[in-house]
Amino acid sequence: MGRNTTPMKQIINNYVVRLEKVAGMLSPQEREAILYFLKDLDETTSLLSHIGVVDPLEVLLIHFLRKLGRGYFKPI
Amino acid sequence: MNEEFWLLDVCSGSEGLLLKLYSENSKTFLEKVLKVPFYGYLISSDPERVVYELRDSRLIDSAWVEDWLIPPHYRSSVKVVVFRTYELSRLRYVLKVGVSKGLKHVNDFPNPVVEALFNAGLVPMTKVEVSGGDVKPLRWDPTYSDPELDIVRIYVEGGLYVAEANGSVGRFNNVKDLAKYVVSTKYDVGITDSELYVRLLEEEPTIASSARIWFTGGAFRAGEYFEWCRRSYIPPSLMGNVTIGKVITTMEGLEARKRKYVIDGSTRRVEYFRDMTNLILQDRGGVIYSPKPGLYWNVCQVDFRSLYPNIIVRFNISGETVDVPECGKVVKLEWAPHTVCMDWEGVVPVSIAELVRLKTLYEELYKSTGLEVYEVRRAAVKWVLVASFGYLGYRNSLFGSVMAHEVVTSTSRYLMGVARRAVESMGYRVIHALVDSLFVEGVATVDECCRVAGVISNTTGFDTKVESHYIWLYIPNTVKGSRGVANRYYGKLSSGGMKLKGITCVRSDTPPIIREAQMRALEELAIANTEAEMVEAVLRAHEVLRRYRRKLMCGDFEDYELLITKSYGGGRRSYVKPPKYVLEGKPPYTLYAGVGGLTQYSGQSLKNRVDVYYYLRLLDRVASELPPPTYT
Repeated sequence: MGRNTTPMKQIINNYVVRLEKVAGMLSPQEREAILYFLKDLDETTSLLSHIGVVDPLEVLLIHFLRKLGRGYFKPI
Repeated sequence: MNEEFWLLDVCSGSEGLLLKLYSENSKTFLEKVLKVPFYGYLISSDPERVVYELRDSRLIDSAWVEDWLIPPHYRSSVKVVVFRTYELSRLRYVLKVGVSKGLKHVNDFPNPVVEALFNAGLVPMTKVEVSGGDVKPLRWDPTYSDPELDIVRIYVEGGLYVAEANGSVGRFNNVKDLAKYVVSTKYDVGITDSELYVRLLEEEPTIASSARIWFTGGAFRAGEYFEWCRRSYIPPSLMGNVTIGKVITTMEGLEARKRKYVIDGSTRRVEYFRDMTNLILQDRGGVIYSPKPGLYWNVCQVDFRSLYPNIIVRFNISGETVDVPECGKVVKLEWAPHTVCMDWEGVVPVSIAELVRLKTLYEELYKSTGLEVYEVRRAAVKWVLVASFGYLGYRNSLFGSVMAHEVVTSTSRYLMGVARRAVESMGYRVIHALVDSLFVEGVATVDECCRVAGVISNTTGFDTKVESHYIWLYIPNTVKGSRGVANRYYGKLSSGGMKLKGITCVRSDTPPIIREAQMRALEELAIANTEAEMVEAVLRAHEVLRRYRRKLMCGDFEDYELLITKSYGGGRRSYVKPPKYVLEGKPPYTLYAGVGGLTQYSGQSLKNRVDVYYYLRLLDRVASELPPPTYT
């Protein structure tokens, strides 16, 4: 359409890279939790491609809620 | 006496149209002049006076005033001066003088020759009846065959120039030999792309006369060009630089002419003001998942049949029907921020409805007869349908608009969501979705796959088909990283054979040796039908690649195996600095990887001149597209 913006998947990927860097500075337990959270993030991104995403953080939030809903997260 | 001829080509002559006819019975060619009217259209603030002056000038046959509807929505009308002449040169002269006097020339598209053929009902590449001085069109049925002609098709493949003629294939290392081969025979039709045609002309100027008709829009099959000529009334002589987009626009232009819709290239359908959120959410394409890389078993791929064209036809989507300010019957789509007016049929849906019908008909004919001509025509129609959607959002599209484009994409995303939920409610898992295609895991048989397709059709209301059923499907990782790529996958079909998409061996710029290596490796994978067999097959496939690696390291290859064929769309004048081989060579680029990068191949031996590591890196890429050797 002649309007160039960075693809949403690329922006989300940039956030993932940042989160991975942060994870590298944390304790093994916390690192594991963050890396576990990032697992299968592409699935949520794909799901949201049906309705669109305005804010890339929205994808991370929804992914977090999905994992929370599945009972994946336990107190550290 | 009446005789049947094929209408092969049409040119404009001084006394009318020059028809180039071909008799299949006597194998003879005939040229005939046909007197047909050409029409000119001018808009003036005083149309009656213009008509008076035109009649007075005696340059034209007749002139009158008509009411025509004007863009963007074709709801209000304007007085248009229409004049008729039987000479194309006079038509052009009168229009030129009219414009110089401040009149507005409208309906300058399609070409007057195309419009004249349309008015006369003469369709290129169909049969006509000639009796005396009269030429009558004969009814064309899509089941009829194409004319039997001597055709040469010229293209570049695997670093070699290829000339395909009457079942024989000639391969040449250089353009000189190719040109010599082509001029040695006289053909009826020559097909190639414009770059190669220019190279051939440079080498051998008589090449132009070695075929009666040249199609230089790309090395498509003859039947595809013939079908485009028939659908759009564009004769081969005007097909030279015509794009697929021009074919669909011509069809739309002729439909507009029937309805007395003014075609005015200067009118644009302006997009309303939108906030950033709306823009990001709506100005998008179809659904494209990021699939999880890996090996999947029993995968069913269900495709919607001509999804975008069917959406356009079903919802009456056209530039002039979307977001119409004054409309009686408005449809508000819950998934799109636009409205569609149903008061009248849009130009785009009417133009492509027939193509949708033809595509299905050709599919059925090919299935029942196995004749290649129907497959070729199906491909031709499919190209036009693909372009019909693309042109809807193109800024210079005559009957498109950004809003219409968005309605189509948002509808497709909505339908894919409905389809996904329907599949999941059956207990299956969708592993990938690609615009109009769903990949469903855990579907054991083709019959089960048909049931899935049936459920999707019933739920969405749009026709689907089982595109493929895979015993296994592999989605490779990205070259850098561990994510999946939407359009790169391959798998073993339960019907036999393999389907390959986007991987190295299907790319046109892959050197033959690398293509061969990957094909051999995939042949090993294709043996596997179970997970246990796959473990063995993966090891064998990697061993195949190791063999090719050794072959490259030892210099055990022929020169042609290393050649890379590349095209460069930007050309020398691109705003991006072109690669070295573009500046040094001429298209089509036949290259090899030398120590100084990609270098034009001159025919000299490549021993000790190639950068073997470049080819080894390509083999690494091939290896990364296979399941890892550690696969269990």
